[in-house]
Amino acid sequence: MTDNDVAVVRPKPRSSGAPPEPAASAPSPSPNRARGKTGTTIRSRERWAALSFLSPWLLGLLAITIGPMIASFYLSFTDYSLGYGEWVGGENYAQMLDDPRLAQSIKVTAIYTFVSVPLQLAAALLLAIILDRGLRGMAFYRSVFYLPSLLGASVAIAIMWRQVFGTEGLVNQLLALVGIQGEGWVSHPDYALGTLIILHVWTFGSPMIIFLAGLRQIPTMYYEAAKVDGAGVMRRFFSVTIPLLTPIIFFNFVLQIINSFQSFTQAFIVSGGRGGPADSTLFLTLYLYDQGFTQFNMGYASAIAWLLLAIIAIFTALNFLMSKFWVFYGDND
Amino acid sequence: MQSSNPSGVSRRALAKAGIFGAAAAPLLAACGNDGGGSDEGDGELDFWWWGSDPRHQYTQQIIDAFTAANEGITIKPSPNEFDAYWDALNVSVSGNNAPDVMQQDERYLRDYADKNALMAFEDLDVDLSNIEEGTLATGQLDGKTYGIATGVNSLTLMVNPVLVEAAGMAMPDDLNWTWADFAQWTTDLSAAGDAIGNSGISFNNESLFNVFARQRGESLYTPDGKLGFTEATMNEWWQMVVDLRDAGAIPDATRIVEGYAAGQDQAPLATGTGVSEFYWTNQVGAIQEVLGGDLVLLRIPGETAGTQPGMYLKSAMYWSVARTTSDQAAAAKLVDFLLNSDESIDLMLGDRGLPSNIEQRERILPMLTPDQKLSADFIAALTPDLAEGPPVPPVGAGGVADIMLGLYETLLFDQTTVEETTTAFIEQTSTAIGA
Repeated sequence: MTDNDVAVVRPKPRSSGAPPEPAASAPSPSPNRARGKTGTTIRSRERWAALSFLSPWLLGLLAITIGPMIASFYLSFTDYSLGYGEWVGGENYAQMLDDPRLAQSIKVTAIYTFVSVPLQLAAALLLAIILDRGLRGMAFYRSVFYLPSLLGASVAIAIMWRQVFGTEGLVNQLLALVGIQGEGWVSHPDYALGTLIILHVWTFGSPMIIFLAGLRQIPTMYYEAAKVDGAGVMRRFFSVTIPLLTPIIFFNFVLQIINSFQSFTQAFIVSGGRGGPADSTLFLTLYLYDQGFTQFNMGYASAIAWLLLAIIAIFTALNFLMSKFWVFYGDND
Repeated sequence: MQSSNPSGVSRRALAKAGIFGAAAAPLLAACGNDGGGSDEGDGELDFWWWGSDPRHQYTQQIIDAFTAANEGITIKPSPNEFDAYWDALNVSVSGNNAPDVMQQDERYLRDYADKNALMAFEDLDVDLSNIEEGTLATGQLDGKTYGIATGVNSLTLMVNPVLVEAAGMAMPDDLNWTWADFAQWTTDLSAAGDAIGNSGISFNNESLFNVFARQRGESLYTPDGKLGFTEATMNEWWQMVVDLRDAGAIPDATRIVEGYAAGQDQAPLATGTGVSEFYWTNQVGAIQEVLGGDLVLLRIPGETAGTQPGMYLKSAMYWSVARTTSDQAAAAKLVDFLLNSDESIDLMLGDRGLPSNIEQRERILPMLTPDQKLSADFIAALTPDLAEGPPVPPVGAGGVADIMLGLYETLLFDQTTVEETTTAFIEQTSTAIGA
């Protein structure tokens, strides 16, 4: 790495020796634009066709997503419980301000999300880059690494996690081999959340697949150009791969943040359904569940659900705002 | 610690996780709710209960006997596991689909009655003549009866005699022992043997604390639904827990958490790695079966050392009828059959507690299985020594078990002091029961 300054990465198609034809040509103007007078009827007929094909999904959306959402929004202003509720105005929302367990659950959820998501994406990207080099038997490895993504959210894996990180579990048996006396990891308030974070990181498969697809889309000519300019492996990674991958990173980041705010199954099972020990794994979703289904406070639980929605919406909006500063779309260069 | 809920984590987790996913739909249907029970019955009853496999099997046989004797009534049975049962019941009642006849528990009965989900037995035709007044009173709220006790049981210290002998020690004199004796005995057991003296998974049980408080002339709840114990008493309780832990009489915090999470079948007493634990008498059969050995039932320590005995007979579970039942007459017939018929009690025996129907109890005593006889004898010997029972728990008491468990954990991990634990318990519980 003698002359770093040379390897400027502002790819210009003609700068390398014999590049392949640019993959995507500019979209040609749509021929449909100049349609005859019959266009409207065709289009409205198409609209009906589209609607009827969409109807199974639309009905589902209305009946099991939008409808319950409206109901829960209404319930969040009542003290609904076991079939009866009265309008209490904003009382449920006011109650949130003075609820230490809610504060604890927000803290736990935030730590979980902001530690596990970057780690998970880093693991996914690393694996994607390794797998992108076209090893023999690639399809096999890809499937193997994708497997945890399919399994990770399952009840069975969560139960296995309990065992693996238990006092007599696999982790402690391995530690015992090197002379370390391990704790009961899932049963200790200082470590329980850590085991859940590891579980989340372990399910790196789906972002990995998306990264792989993203890596495939980076034209090789950029790398060749950088190589010609004398850029080393690291330099090419940070100056070619990362900038061109930022849209994909952004996509994965938004998706995973939303997902991990909504995590429920793993914590529910690993903590025995209570967010224990000592509320150390009390995710917002678990607290919502506890309020709604154990304490019978469905009104308050509905309010918490809307708080969760608001939090996710705010973070997603922030993500999009900040994306202007770091996400690089090749075409606006 | 529930009256009877051998729970493996997997089943309850599966069921709960599924219910959470499906929870949104009933909420939608739950907005309007006015319908009451109708007199024109349709003869179809939903019948829900919780329990373990043997209970599911004999309850099905009872149902078969009932439908054979009652033309025109069909029953849709729905057995469940304890924790999943309450989630499912909450969802179905909220969604206006309450089961016509259901098993209830002391902790939740008043919550459901208070929310007007249950029908008072004063409006139903069920023969209650063989059930004692005191027993009926445990199912009442504001003078109306919303649940009929199926039977009674009592807290007990279950001890594995083989492990006591292996440690080279003797059984204590449980008629006169104190909590100090208990601490010494379990500490010595841990030190002398391979198994832990007490597995420590019951000091979060509010019923056990209630016994402790009653021995001091106090109680967990007062008759008017407030907290009935002093801070000093609860400090003493938590201090005892800390001392037991530090002396090694109970395991370290992580193992207690694991033991609790493992459920009755995998907890130390059942797996033979713990010498003793507090349970309800009707759990002895299930635990002996997993252990593959006999257990001895001892009285709770401190019964003679305080101002009064603290132990009491608890209604094991209740039969209740939903206010929205589609057929009042048929629902009443079913409860009557469950409580009073020979066919039903012959199959049930002592599984839902020693029968509350006095006549039936006398009749089946000779027919009990050895483990049920163990409980029956224990309760029979205990009964003359008991003080008056505690008042019924107030509305909201269902949440107290979780509060106490959470605080027990913070104490075990030294995150809070004894005094802080007590303060937090009083604060959180007062909120839960609206005191």
